[in-house]
Amino acid sequence: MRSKERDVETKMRQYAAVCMRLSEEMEESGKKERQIRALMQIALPPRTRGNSWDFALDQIGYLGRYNLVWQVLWVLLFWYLIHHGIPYLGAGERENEILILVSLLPPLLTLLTVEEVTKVYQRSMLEIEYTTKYSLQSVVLVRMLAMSVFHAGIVAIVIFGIHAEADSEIGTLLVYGFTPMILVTGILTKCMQCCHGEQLRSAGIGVYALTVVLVVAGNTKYCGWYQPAYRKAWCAVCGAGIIFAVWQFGCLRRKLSSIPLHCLNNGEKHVPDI
Amino acid sequence: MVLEKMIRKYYDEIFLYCFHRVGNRAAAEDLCQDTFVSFIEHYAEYRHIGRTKNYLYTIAGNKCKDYYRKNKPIPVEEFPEQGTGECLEELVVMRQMVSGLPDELREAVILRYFQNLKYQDIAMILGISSSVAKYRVKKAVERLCEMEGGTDEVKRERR
Repeated sequence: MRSKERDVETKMRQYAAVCMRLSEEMEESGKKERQIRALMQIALPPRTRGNSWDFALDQIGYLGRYNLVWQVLWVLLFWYLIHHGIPYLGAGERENEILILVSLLPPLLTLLTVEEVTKVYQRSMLEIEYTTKYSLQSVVLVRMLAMSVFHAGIVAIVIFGIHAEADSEIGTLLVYGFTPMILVTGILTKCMQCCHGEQLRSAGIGVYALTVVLVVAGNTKYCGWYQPAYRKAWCAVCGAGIIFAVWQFGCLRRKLSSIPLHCLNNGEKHVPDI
Repeated sequence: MVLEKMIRKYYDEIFLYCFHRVGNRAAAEDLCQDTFVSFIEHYAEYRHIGRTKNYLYTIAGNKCKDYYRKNKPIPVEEFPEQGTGECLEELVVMRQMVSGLPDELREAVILRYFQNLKYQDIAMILGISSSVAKYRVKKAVERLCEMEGGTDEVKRERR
């Protein structure tokens, strides 16, 4: 029986080998070339079809359900922690606890952005589908911007929600909520210029761990960064953070424009310099 | 440019797959073209979950299924103008036997032996587990052996 099976398998392989002739015939007749030309006529328009707004909408659409799940989970986590708190985090003081959570949770959304943007560097369909239509630079930056704006919106909404419930001062909540997020965004944008893939992911986790340490330390008696006296300092850091993030965004834009596309698409193990 | 390279790389493979599935050269050419048109039109919605080649195979497989729904199966008539004599006759018989397999066994055996794909890729294309892919291929080969036993007897009777 086994030899019979081998015989059948051999015949099928022989048949497949003979059929290769069909594609050769197609190539010889020039039909394959005509078909590919016709396909390229369809493929070319995306670069010119639609405007930048359509492209941005495409990218927002791409962000998709997977991210939405994480964002919903984030909101649920936020809501749960705000209502139930973390033992010992605020040393028993409800207002301190809220302020710490407001600082700690938004940077998690920045990690989501980095995770998403990292996928652009995978040698896969993503490079092909997007780099053939638009430059890698446009894809990365538009996705980052779209996700950052969306996340900023989510953070603003939950902060307004807390303000309505906990009766905390809205200005304070906004500053404590956005400052760590902006700083982490700036630092991770800087990291994106130096590393990619797993390294970038690790850098993101490292930066977040540092943020946690700084935020929690800010609530101890040794470094009372959450005291009202430091409010102006927080505003200054927030302003500096915005300038730093915008500057790093510009640097990343320049860096991306200098990456040769063939490095991404020719199966090289490492994308140079990013 | 990258897209063109990719189309050139996989065009023959997808064309042959369509040919093996439908057994008609003209239809296979159309299906292959349709596969790439769909690929180009929908790649913006595609999320990377595996190899591009497998994605193309999946599209081609769906196109072939649609083709079957609209058209009655055509007996294999065309064959490359190569090979003569009993060897060719045997291969034609083999091809006809493959055409006679149930759909799920046929597509597994085509991917394995005609397209020379790994079980892991077959599983991904057909949306089944690797063990199910192996089982289907094994079952198909067994069926073909049984069928071939039958054709051998017919040959002997003819002699």
